[in-house]
Amino acid sequence: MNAIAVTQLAVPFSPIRDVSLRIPEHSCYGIIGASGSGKSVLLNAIAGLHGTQSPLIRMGGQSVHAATALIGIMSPRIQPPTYLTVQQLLHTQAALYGLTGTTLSAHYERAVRWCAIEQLAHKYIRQLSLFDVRRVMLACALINRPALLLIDEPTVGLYAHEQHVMIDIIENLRDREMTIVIATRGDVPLESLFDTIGVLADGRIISELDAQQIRTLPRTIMIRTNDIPTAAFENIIALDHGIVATRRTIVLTGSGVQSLAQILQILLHYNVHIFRIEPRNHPLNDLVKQSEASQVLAQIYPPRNITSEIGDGITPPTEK
Amino acid sequence: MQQRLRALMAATPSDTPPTMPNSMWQLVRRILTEYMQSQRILIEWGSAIVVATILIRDSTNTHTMMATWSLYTILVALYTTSVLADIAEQPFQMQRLLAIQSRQAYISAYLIAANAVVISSYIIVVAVSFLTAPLARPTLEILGASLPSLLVLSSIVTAVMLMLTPLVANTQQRIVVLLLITIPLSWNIIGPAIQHIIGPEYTTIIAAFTTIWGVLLWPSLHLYTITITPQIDRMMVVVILFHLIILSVIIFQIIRWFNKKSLTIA
Repeated sequence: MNAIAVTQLAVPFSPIRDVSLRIPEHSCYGIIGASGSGKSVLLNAIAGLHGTQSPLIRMGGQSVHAATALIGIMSPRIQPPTYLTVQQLLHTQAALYGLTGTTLSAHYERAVRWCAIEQLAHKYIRQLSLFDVRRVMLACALINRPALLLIDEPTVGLYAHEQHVMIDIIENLRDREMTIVIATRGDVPLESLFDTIGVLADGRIISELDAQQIRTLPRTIMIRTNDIPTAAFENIIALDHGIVATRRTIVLTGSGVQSLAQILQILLHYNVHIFRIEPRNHPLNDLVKQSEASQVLAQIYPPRNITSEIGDGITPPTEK
Repeated sequence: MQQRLRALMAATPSDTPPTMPNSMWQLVRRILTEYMQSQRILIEWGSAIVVATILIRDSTNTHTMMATWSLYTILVALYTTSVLADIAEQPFQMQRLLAIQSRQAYISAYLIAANAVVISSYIIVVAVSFLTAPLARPTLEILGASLPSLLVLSSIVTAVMLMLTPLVANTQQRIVVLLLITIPLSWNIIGPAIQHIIGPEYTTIIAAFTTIWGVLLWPSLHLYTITITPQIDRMMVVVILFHLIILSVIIFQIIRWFNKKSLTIA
């Protein structure tokens, strides 16, 4: 049974133009897309916050508008009131769901345990670190034990060890019979969580990978480099929708992973230095460490006429 | 960490079905509690004390005192509503909107909370004024008679202000509402200017508009007047009823617009 069914969703004044997707009950669905591709807008819409769009989104067969109390949402943009303690905040949220007395206490205890924030209960929000606030907001989203949990960029802005704890927490939520939708740029190894990944680009889901494909296909690959020249940058992101790039990081997800060879060639062509490739056990990493990347890559991927492959207009490299 | 989490989860209480939302009154309570906890209320209550101790101090004229109260109430209603509308739009509050499940209840809760803050400020300004200007204090009968019209006036100002915030209306809708308010109020300037442009042959049309605006404005101005010089008579009842109808229309429109509004949490 589908927990969520979205049909030809278009949100005015946003990149979302024609999104259709089906999310099975008790599954974990990952929405991966570049910055500005509309991931957050899509989460807002699924939460029923785009009023006129709600009829296009069905949750358990009914309009999402009528079932928002069954939805929990967590986003890095949510800033809780700083003058409340964690306990006050969670109790307030629980009371709005109509929870009282022992039921409220039970829900509170559970949310706190699930997010591993027992020791924060009596601290004020203003005393918490970003990671603590993120977990508190996750607990806030879980307080009513929602049927659908929407999480936007759960690890953004966190240190590496905090990211791992956050992933552990979410992974454990998967066992709790709730449908989870996570939006991410794909720059953190979250894909082990997902049963299905939807790649969002051009205002629609351009491809979906199921659990089997996620296991068999190459995992998300991240290439850390020094500054990538503009021409190289533009050529790289034009290769595939599954490629997300900043000036120093290239993330390949979904179909983008297939473009690894071409990306390495472009980097080689522009003399961009590769610091490392993630996941760290990627075979190319050893070669990158041992010698100059350009030499290694030249051995693995013999140079070809890049200009003819990726189109005209590439200017010769000017940076060393 | 992984093992610890699993152990903790195993110890959690049995899953109960998700509960449905309580009511908007729970939200009203939360809004007001947090308005006080955040100390924002000090602006309203502090200003009430300032008005009573500086503007009304040693006043001997009851009408002046009551006019100041009414004007202060209108200003506080404008300020409080804009602050609460700003709070209501924060991403964190959207989590509460999801919890309460009804947009109608959500926006109504903020409207009620704004009025509650305004009324509390009115009570303070009246109470302090009784101490600072004992000679001008009105009788309890006069004060009681002015209360219904003052409550209606405060509610209308609050509702109109809420209607003008980005939380409820988009830019075009706000411009239309502003025009509907400002054109009648400034018609004595706009009317002659238009007549000067289009020529004297359209005098009748300008006069017709003047009459229409006058009819529309008169009850509102009269409502303000009876908060200062209350007289319990048929006219007062008619004016209050008229404004209650206007208030209903404004609230209906606020809910209608808010139901269609695109909000943002993530």
